[in-house]
Amino acid sequence: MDGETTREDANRVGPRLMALVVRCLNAVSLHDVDNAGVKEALEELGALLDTALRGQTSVELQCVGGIPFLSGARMKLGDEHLETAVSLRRYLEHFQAQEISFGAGLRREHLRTFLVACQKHRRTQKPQAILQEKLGPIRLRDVLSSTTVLTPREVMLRYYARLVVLLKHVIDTRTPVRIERFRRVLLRLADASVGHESLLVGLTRFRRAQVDGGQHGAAVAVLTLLMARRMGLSRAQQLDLALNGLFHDLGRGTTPLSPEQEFDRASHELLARRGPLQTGLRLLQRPLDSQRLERVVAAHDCLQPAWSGPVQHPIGFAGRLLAVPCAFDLLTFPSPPHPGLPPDTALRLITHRAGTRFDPRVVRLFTAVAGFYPVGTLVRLSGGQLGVVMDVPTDAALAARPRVRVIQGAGKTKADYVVDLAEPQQRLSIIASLDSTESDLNVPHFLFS
Amino acid sequence: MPALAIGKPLAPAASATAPTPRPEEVAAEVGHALNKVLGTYRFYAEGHSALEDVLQRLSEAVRRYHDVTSEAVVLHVRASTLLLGEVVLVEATSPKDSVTRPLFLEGVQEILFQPGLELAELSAFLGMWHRAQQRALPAEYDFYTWFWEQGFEDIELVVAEVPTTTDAGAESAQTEALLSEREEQLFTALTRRQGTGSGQRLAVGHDEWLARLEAEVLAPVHAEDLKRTGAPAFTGASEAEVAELRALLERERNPDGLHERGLWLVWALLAVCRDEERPALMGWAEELLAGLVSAGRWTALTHVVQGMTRDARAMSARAPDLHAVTRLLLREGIRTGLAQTSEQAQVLELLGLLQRDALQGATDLLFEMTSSESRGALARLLLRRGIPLMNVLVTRAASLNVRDLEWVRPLRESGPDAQPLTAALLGHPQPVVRVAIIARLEKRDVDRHRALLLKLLADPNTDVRSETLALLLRHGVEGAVGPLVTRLETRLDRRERMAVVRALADLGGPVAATALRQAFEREQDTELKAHCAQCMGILGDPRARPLLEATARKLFAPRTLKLACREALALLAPGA
Repeated sequence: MDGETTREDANRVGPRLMALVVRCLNAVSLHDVDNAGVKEALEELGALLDTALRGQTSVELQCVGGIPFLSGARMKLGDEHLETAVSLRRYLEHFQAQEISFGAGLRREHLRTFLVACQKHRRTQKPQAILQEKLGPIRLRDVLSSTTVLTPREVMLRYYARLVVLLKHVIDTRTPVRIERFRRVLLRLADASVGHESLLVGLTRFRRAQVDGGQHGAAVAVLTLLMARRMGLSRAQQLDLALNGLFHDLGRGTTPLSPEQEFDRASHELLARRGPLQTGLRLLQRPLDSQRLERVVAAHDCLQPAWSGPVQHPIGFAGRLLAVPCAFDLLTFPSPPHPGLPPDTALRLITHRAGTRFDPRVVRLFTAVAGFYPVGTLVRLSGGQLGVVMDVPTDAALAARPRVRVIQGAGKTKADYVVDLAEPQQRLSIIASLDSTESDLNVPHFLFS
Repeated sequence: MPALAIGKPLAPAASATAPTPRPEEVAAEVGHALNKVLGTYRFYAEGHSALEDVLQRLSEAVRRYHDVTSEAVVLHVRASTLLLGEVVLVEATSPKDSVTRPLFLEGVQEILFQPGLELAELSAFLGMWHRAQQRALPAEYDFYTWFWEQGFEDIELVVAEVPTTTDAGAESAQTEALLSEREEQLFTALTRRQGTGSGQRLAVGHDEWLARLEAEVLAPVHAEDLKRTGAPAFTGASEAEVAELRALLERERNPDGLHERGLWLVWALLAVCRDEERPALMGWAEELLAGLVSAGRWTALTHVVQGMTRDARAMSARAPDLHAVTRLLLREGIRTGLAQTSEQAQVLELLGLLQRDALQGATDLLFEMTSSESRGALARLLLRRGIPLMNVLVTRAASLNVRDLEWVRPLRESGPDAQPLTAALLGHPQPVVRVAIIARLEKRDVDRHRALLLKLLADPNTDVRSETLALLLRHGVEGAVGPLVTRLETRLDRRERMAVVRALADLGGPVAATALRQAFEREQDTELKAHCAQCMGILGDPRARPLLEATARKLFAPRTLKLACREALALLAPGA
């Protein structure tokens, strides 16, 4: 069963199976197994399982942390399923089980035995003894038997998506920020990205349909994480810096200036300057927590030194570190309606401002991590081909000659091959980087496919 | 067991015959030692010798397991049990009591102790496990995150994905479901080949576009920056530079500077905040200032205040912010810190930087400072900056002490406006202060405060009365006669009575003379009577002559009295 089918099944069969299992368990907790109501529910469950098991060796109904899965795929539930999901969790937690597995060759007697066993163990002192019961093709397990195996790329994408969604949720709903949760997602992302650093840069190049604080924060977090890794910091420091990046602008995305509003430079600037204030108001509570305060200070330092301010104040290094990926992301994905700069142009602009607005050492570090043509940049080659930059050349002298995945041939023909521009005999070179919005291609797709 | 052969050494024979333990046995040994360790943690603090002992034994058991099986120790974590292979190491009656609970809830399925595991690493891990059980992990961390950040070399965890559902309730479950669905949607959208149509962005003028970009990143963007000039001379970051950056970051993690940086943050945010956001910012500022004061970081405080003042001078719009922040320094909690520190010189230097408006609150600090020198210095500072002190000093004169009178003096002598201050000090509840201020009064003060001084002649404190009497005599205040006569009618001790009588003699006048005559007639004590007689002579009252003569002639009058009367008579008529 491939991933797509599993997901479809989980959405189609899962809620029904869960509802019927819960109905049966509810019924046997009140009545005898031979009661007409129980028999009817059991029959319906049997019929559903017969269909579900056609061509399958087993079907697993799982509940991890209160969230139901069908054979490892998360079920898509509506409000109407909420009560059933809670009931299932209650039953399974009582038995200390995480999974009910229905194997092939399942008959009604097996289901009846299962319900009898549930009835028997439910009120005993050790209900978990049911796990040792022999129930034919039905097994209750305290660990999951099937785990969906994801490729490292998929893992990275999934956690990146989670990071974006969580951050956006926090920004939009103004719910309290639970740092430990973000820390855990970042940890998984950091763990999965070892050896795939260039892909991690590529993650930040996904297109955004709107001003999206989630995507901006996540992108800065990821880029900062990579810079911290390049600096050889400890894991804890890497995560701390990445969290600084993640929460550096919790106000973004909640801007009251609509794109249609007439452009007013002063109000735009004020909005940018109010970013750390929003972040502070979201993160800080008295008594002040030093870790959170550090984050807010870094978020503020990220905007300094502003050329228009009357007096320059000393700024922290964490802030200077954040300033470069933040500006890079904002230049390449500015808020609508204006298009972004191509990544290499943005990088050039940042390089020109090194020494005044940005710390030149940080700019060099950033270019070493992201590359001169950052991973995920859509480029036109001298042969007329269109390609996506795949990695960062290790040799700084060859910075402008990365590996490129060609996605369109010279005559706008379909293509899919990789060329290494750094190879001595390679005559192709990059002649221009393109704004991906012009071509309507989701560039990182080619990195992750 | 076979009998030992005589004459053979014991140890080699035993080792030669010792059977290799079975894996189950060493697993049980690991379990036993682990149970012991987890139990010991409940009674002993980390680092205790008892704990070190059991940890050592566990480490040895783990090493033995490695030796016997040549495999890692794989502990399977279940809701209420911990298994090593098939051997149950730890079992709890309910999952809630289980030592595995914190790990199980976070999705930890297996714990792997790899061969070569050191004792230090093992004990650090078990300490962490114990803290997780006690729910004493650092803020913002769960067990697995903390474990990961430690970067253990020989301990690994197999962790399943567990959704975070610490918030109970239907609403949170709904939110979780919503988030999961959004995550799925985003995942699908990200992997799509084609874009989502965001290419149709509005075209804007080139200049406006640049201006928007500038406003976005707060950096000037010029059109020439965007011109393509081929690959620039790009040099990656060298290792030395990376090391330098790392060192910079390490230095910054020093928590000492955080309060100062936090204060700068609040200062900057005050410039862009709205009215409703201001209270929160002021709250942070107060806490940060209190932190700096309690840590005695005067240099940092001085820098920040100087910087803020510079900013406010450069931009007049910031003056109210400066006023608001600096006023916080003189709020109750922080003020106490300023008053109690031993480094008063720095405090005064800091206060010297504040603007006049902010210093208004410093008058309270004046009375909270413990040393009189500091009070004096602060008072001088306040006066220099034009803060009116007189009213406060008058109202709170009772808080001043004797040593304060030194710095109060110039204030007292500053003019007629200062009269209430002297009056307040004359009414000070501490007699010692009243005495001290009386001793410092000059002629003009005596004239100004005559009524008050006359009242002090009847002060309950003897020292005050005598000091007042001396003062009044010194300046020949005739008005004192009346109160002194009244005093004579009350019960006084011998010394004071003599002093009053003498004072009356010195002050003179008909009233005093009458009073002395009456006192002479009334007095029973020979010595006092003799003193009255002498004083009458000093006063030179002719109407006292018959009295004195009569007493001097008395046959049975005491000799000393008669002698005193004769002396007085001699004084009355020196020529006679």
